Amino acid sequence: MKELVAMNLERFPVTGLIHVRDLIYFEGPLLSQFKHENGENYLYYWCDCDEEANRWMVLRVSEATLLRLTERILALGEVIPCGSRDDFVYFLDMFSDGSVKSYLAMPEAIPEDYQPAPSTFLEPLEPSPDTHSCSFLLEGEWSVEAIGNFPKVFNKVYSVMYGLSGDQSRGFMTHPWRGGFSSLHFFREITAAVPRRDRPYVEAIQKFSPGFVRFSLNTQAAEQAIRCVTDFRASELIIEEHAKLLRQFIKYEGLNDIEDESSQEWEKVNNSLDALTRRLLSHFTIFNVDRFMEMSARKFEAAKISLSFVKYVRRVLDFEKKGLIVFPKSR
Amino acid sequence: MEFKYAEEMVLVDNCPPSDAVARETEAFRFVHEEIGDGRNFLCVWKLNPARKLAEKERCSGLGLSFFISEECARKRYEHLSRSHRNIGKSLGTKLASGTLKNEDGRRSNPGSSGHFDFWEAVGVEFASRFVIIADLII
Repeated sequence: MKELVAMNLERFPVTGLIHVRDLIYFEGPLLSQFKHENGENYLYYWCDCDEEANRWMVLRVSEATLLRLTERILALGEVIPCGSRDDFVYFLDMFSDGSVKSYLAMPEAIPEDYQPAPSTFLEPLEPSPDTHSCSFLLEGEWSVEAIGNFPKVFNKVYSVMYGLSGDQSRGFMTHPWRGGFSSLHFFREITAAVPRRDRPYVEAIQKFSPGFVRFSLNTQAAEQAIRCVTDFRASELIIEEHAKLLRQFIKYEGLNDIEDESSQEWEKVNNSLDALTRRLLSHFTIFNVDRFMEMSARKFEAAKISLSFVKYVRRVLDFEKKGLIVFPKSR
Repeated sequence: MEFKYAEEMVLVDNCPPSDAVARETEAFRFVHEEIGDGRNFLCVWKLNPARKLAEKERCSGLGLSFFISEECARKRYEHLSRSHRNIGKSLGTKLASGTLKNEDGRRSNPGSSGHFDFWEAVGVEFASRFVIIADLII
């Protein structure tokens, strides 16, 4: 291997790093994320080997840089090595007998072939099942009100997706769905139904741009909620059109005014309500429509809940439209 | 079927995965200069020195990486050689092809990149059945 222009270290001074995930993997890791117990993120970047050892560059990176790397906003070469939070990087030669030689090097002394080629981005990552957190990139100027609102609206979309993917056999609580209070009560109940350990709460936030907000939550439900937002972004016009048709049907049939839930009027409209609701929700690719319809007490309630759900997905996406947040590119 | 690394496989959940199948297929793999190089068909766990970081390894570390087509293999190699310019030292600089037979082991479902993992059965020896078909370094 190349002789490094670097300072020999007696030992690698950073201890207690925990492997989070591999960002590039081919027959073994090539770029991996580690986390220190103090929350600092480190990248291990493989750069060389010989018959005795593998050589890794190790650098400390900010969470915002890491997010911009994984969301493919920053190229690998913009992070490795110049994204290091320190004025230096480490090199580790890991030998087959388990011994490790450590070095400290200045970025400008790193050989060119130890750095990624320009304009090379990570490939899209699969969500990691081992983590219990999800971060969003923050851009622009966030008001205190916006900082308070984003977790609230995201939580509503997240809780619906959580409820649909869960094992709970009981359906949604029934409401009259005339006027705005039913929506209020519905989302209050469905967010409260999420077990405490999976309820989103803000673990960390860095407001200044580029910043980030990190939630502790169930990553599978979060990924599904994010997918709903990116699906909405991809099919916004047709979703709005189908939501409008469903609202118009409810209005023209006077369904908001029928107080008697056992009225025979419902039988006349249930098939249409079912079809219009399913058509609206079909644009959300991972939305379990059949389960949603089962969990809804009536077709009318399913229609109203779906319209409220779409409203909150729209509100989440509005943060991106205002230049405040960056959601993943559609997969 | 008895697998080559059965002792290590028991340490990993669901390894090989339950949806892995035995299927005859043409396959493409990155190899070193000489097809007889001992590293060419050795799984990650058995390479010395092994390129691994985490204590808990993946099941794929006990399998071999193949591609369903030359095009898929070249595309993946090109990306890897851009993200890691010395990747040839680890994976090799040549592309080899050969046929995987039903009795050779089980494979995962190929992903959208055309890559799949292959878990070898005991006694399988690929070096004499694969031939180098191309250089990967341009």
